[in-house]
Amino acid sequence: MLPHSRLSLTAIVSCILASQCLAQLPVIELTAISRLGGQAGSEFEMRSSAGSRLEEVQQLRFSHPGIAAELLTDNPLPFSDQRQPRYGNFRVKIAESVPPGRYECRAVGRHGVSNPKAFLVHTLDGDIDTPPSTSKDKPTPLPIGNIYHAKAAPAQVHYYSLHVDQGQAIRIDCLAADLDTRMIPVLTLTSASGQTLQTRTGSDTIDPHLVIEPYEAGDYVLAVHDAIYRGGEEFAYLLVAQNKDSAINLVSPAGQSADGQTPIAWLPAATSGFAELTDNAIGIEETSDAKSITPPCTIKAAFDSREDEDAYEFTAQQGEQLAIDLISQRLGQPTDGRMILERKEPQQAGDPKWHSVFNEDDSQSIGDAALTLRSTDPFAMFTAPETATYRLTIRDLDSGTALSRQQDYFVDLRRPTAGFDLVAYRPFPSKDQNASRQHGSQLFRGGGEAIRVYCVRRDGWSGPIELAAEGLPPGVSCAAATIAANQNQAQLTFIANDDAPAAVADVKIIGRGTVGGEQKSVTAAPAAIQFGRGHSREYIRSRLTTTLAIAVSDKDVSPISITVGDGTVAEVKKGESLTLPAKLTRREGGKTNCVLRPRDLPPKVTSADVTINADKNEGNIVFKVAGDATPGTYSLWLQAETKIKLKPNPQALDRANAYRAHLKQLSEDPAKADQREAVNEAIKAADERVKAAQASAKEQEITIFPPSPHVTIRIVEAK
Amino acid sequence: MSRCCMLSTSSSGRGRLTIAGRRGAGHRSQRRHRGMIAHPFKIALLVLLLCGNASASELVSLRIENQAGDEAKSFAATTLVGRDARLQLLVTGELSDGSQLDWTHQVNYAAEPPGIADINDSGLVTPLANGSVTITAKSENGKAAQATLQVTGFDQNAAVSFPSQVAPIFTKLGCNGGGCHGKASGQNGFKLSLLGFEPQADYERLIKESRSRRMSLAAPDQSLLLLKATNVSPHGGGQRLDRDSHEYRLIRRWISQGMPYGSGDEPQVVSIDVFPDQRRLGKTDSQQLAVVATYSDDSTEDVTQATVYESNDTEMADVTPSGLVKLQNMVGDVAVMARYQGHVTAFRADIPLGATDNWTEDQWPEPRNVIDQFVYQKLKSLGIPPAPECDDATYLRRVTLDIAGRLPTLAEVQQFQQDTRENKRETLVDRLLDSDDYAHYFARKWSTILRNRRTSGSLQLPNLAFHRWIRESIRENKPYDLFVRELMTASGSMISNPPVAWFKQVPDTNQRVEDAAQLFLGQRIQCARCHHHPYEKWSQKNYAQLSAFFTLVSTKTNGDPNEPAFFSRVGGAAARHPKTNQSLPPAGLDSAELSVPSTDDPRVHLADWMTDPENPFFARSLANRYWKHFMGRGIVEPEDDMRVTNPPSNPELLDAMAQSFVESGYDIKSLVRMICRSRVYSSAADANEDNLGDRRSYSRFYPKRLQAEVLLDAVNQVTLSTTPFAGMPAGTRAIELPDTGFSSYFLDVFGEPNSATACECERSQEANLAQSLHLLNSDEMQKKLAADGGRAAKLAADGRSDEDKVRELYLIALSRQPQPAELTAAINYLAAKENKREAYEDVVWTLVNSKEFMFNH
Repeated sequence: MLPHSRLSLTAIVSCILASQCLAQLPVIELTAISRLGGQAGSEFEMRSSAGSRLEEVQQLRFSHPGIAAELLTDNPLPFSDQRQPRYGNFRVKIAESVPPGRYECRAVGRHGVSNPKAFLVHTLDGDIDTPPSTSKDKPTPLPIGNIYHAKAAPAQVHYYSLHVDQGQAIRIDCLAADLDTRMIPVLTLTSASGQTLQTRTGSDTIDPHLVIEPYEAGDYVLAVHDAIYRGGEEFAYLLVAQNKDSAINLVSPAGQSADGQTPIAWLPAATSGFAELTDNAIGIEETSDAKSITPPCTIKAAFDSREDEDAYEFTAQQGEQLAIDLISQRLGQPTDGRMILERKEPQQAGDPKWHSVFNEDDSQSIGDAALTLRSTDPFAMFTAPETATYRLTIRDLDSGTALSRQQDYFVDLRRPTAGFDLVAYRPFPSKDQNASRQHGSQLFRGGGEAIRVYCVRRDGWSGPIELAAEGLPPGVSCAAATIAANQNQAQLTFIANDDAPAAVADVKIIGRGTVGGEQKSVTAAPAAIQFGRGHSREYIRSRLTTTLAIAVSDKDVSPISITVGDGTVAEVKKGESLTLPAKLTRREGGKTNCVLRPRDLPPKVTSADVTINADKNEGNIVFKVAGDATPGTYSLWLQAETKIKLKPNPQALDRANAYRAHLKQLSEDPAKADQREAVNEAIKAADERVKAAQASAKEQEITIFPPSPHVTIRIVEAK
Repeated sequence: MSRCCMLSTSSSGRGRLTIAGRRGAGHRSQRRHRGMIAHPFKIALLVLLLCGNASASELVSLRIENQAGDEAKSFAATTLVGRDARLQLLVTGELSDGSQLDWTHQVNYAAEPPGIADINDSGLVTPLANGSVTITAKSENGKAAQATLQVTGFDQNAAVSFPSQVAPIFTKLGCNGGGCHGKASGQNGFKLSLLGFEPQADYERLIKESRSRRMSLAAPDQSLLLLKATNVSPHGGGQRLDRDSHEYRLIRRWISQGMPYGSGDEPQVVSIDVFPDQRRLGKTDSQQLAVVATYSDDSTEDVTQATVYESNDTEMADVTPSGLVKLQNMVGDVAVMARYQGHVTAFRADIPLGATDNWTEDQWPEPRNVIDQFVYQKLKSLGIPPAPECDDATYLRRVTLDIAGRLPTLAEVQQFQQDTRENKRETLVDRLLDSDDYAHYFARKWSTILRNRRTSGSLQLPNLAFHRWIRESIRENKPYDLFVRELMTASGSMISNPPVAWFKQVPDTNQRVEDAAQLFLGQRIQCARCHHHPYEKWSQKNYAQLSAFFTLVSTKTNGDPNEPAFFSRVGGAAARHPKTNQSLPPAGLDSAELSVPSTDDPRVHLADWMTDPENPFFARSLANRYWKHFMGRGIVEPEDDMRVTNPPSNPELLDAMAQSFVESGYDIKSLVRMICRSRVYSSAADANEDNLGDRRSYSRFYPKRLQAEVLLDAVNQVTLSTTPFAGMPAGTRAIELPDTGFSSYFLDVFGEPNSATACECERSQEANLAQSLHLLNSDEMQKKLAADGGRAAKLAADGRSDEDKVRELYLIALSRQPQPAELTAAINYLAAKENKREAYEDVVWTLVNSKEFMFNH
């Protein structure tokens, strides 16, 4: 029976994957969905096709209510009247009314709500799912105006044919990075005789497109493969050919979010209001001379050649302040801008003499190994040292054209507008951040999950930010936290009560700070890890997402709970020490030594790791505050490390046993003697199901790194 | 069945051998024999005659070259200053046919008045007293010549100068060579600077180290330096000096003077000249050289005996330590490098065959372009007849292998055979240059020397991206100057700007400097990193100034830490001189220092200098590299070692090609067209008596063994098989591989390079037993031959006649029809074998094991 086979396979795969990730409590990780999108108004089947801890995926949550997924079911098992869920398999319906664009999909299963995967809704002619040809001689037709769904296989090339009429110009897009796949597409267009006409390639973050300008009418062949010839479930792509003149962008440019769309973008884009920027920008034509500008203003221009260098001259009065922001990489351009500002020497005879004021390259480095807000776009706060003519020179240090022949940029010269932006994401619970990978949420009763918040202060603003969570499900709490004026990050911890009911919810992190004497409230942009290291790519990719989703399990209890202090803000003087008690609540499976490591300590504050032995439940955390520490309110937390034992899914075994017991009862029922043979056959199949379920019900020993609730302390002046 | 296809050595073409007679008007000198001898035994006789130095022509006059005059610098030295002076006489004899020969070692010398100078049989003059002396050189047939020399300063016991007189002895004797005391760690506790470039340091070590035991002022002969050099005290390097030698006496006198270093203001050597600098000689002739150094005070000195000599082709010429060049029995040209005190120069000898001296102009083929013009000019000069043009089949195979790195397909062979257009060869070249195969093949070539090397494990994105960039640059025919500019100034991420990968592959500034110079300028400046280049003019200052262009290159990580982005920091471009620690601004070789604004990327200025049409290295280097690719031997060989002391075999040809290349806008395809459309390139490879010994003048096409990748693809093409390469799509050919990290015994054994250096020499084109065994008898070959879908299986199952199938097989493998004997042998063999498939396997095996298959000819 196919459903049974699928079930067994899923269980086996899950077991294998589970054994590979014994470094956190069981939490669903979704690395691929079987379909990257569909036409508005269409229906199709779709799977959560790759990942780990994918047991009993029974729901797909889309970021638009017009996209619905219904779990497929199989016929009832023998001697049962309930249809059997075909976990992980769904029929998806996209309502006609759903606007085209990128959305998100999360899988919800036994181990929580997953990380998001991008999902495209389009209004083109249709979708084609048939596997493309791998034979150069027999390419698969690529109809113009349709979307071809394909998946790269290792060491293979897909070949498509397309016919071009005389004078027809066609644009071909290959979507992969934009839709959360690992595929780095390479497109090679050849003539029918096999001669290469052009080739375009993508990157981890930029998808390629190719324009067939009006060549001679005829047939052409398009070869598509991954740049490193990788393949598998995580290497899906969409291919679409459109008439160039009427071609539509299937996804919005980075940072620009159409209604209902997911602002999928590199993280630095979270910190700029690009819409306003583009509306007010002044287009600058390319010339060899310096262009005269009058700040405040926004310039739109382009790096249109490898060694392009654009210069702008303006006059500034002594003491005049400008925030100068070059914006290009944050628009998704493959650029690395540099700004050089020089001051013209007054009253010079002959050639003018210029004095360097500043040269700026990358923006400030904020983030960690899994999520970085650092951009290759430079920024500078400028205060004119004297009234003079200034020359701003813009260069692109990434002079390549492999990803884009021409790269756009904006230069925003504005009056400083102080403020801040926030980005929040769920860090991977490990002491090695390089091990971070995409993962979902599953909050055990009595357990905790962290949300990490970074702030980017704009235009010279400095000040503390109070953080709070909103939209928490019942039974989940989260204390307020503070990002001190001299810090740019803090961590919040969600704690589930011992009796928290099962739930899936989207939470918001709100930051409040005083800017210009006024209270300002900012909602943190949610972010998520897109991919961990692997598949020949040794860095962690993260992106913005729609929501911070958390799931609470009523079937799982954390083997260990941690508390620090009494929940109040503890005060300590400079030069003194503060001792806070740490307490463990040990439950079944949580009886070993536990190391507590202080994290996010304020500057000039030190604290040693504390080990609470297996036979103890308490310890003291001592914070030593240096005499030159900066007074303020700081939030910090402890990362625990301990081994626990747990059974990931004993309920599955219970169900399998219950069904087998039901069959056994039938087999022993004299009234059912005429069905005994069939019952015995069913028992044999049930035995297999029990055997498969035993793996996930088997007790496992796991090293976990749970976060403590965050602690807020206040450092005050010594008197 | 055993069969071995040998290249024909039949004397096709003109079928005659002409030996030189009088040369045409305008030639500076002539050879001695004339007439036309067609019979082989006469040839042998003539060779015997030529081998002897005695000329059939009569010596009509002698001349001693050491003559002072208005053009003193044009002649060898005439003055001996001081008791340590030596002077090499050069005696030239003019024969009755007008030719000139070195007679230095064949005359008797006499000096008048006696007691002023001594002369030995080799013409070496040593002073005995101050004065003027007249030297008479007299030949056996009574011809005589005279020269007057001056001896001065003999009565002055001038202090011996360590840097000017003693240190050069160490160089001459090889003491400070890289294999002896000149290596970085020295030898047995005694270190000298390599080739004496740091005399002050040598002096300090010699005098002060080891408690000064190397010198004995009280008993100079007991100085350890002399005891070791004469091997009286056991010396690992053996005896380097005779007690009776000039050098011994000089060192001894220096010791007895108290081992002065010198005044410090002695004139420095500014240049050296060799006399003669060029000469036309006959096989087995010899030529004495004299070397004169010019000092910073404009004085000159004969330094013939102190100079180090080296032949660039020892199969053509040897040279003795005293500067006597001895030619072997070959024709062509050869250079002898002379090095003294860090200065180098070269003597060039032409050794003509003279076989075309009686040719009229219309006997010479009409040149199609400058290549033909200058190759024929040289062949005329040497009297070597050019080979006739090869046939169509040979040309098709040759040019397809050279441009596209593959065999012609059956369809191409048939089409070319049937094509009757006059310009079909030109059309073929254009078609091949427009093909993807051209891009694949040359991407492989460039990818290898640009060190596109996998660091470990599976395929890596930067390697593939870099290879793709190279391939697309070639396919799009990106102008070469732009290609190099994009590479040298690459900035950004490896995926957005793939040539950035070169900076990752070549992580060290020194390596970047050296690779850039070797790849794009044909200059191997590695030596100048640590010391003055021994065979070139490049100093450590030159090296440091070239490296200054790269000193601001830096990295940052925005994604994969294994793929850092490269960029140029803002700052002052400068490099420190390793010895003086002086901060030096950037400068190109032989070029003025640059002042680079701090906000500029200095590499842009480097690219400007490199790609300037006036750059003397850039275009010539590429022209030479591509010439070698097609013709098998560089005009300068090795192709990336274009130093002063390794002169081109045909400088006019190299200059003309470079000029044309520049004028084309650095159009590589245009260069390839020029080469492949020349008559020279289409010359037959068959060697005959006239051109068998020619290895540098391109009188014929020099056969080349197929490169490893090309050969593997050719084997696959003929056997209808494929070779799997891990991670690459099935059917990927070897020339398409993005890097050299694939495991293949076939490629290894046939000399695939490892991309560890920028040198083309890393690719081995040598033949060895392992190659033969692999082709003859390996599992890999057996599987290809016996594959179910392979050529042999298909031919066996094919219903056509054996003759038709054999004919087709020859077209596929050798691009030609079988000769009657070959056809008969194959048909008979096939008929005799019961198992047809095995029989065809044997025939295919035979063809791919033939030399004709393995060579491009």
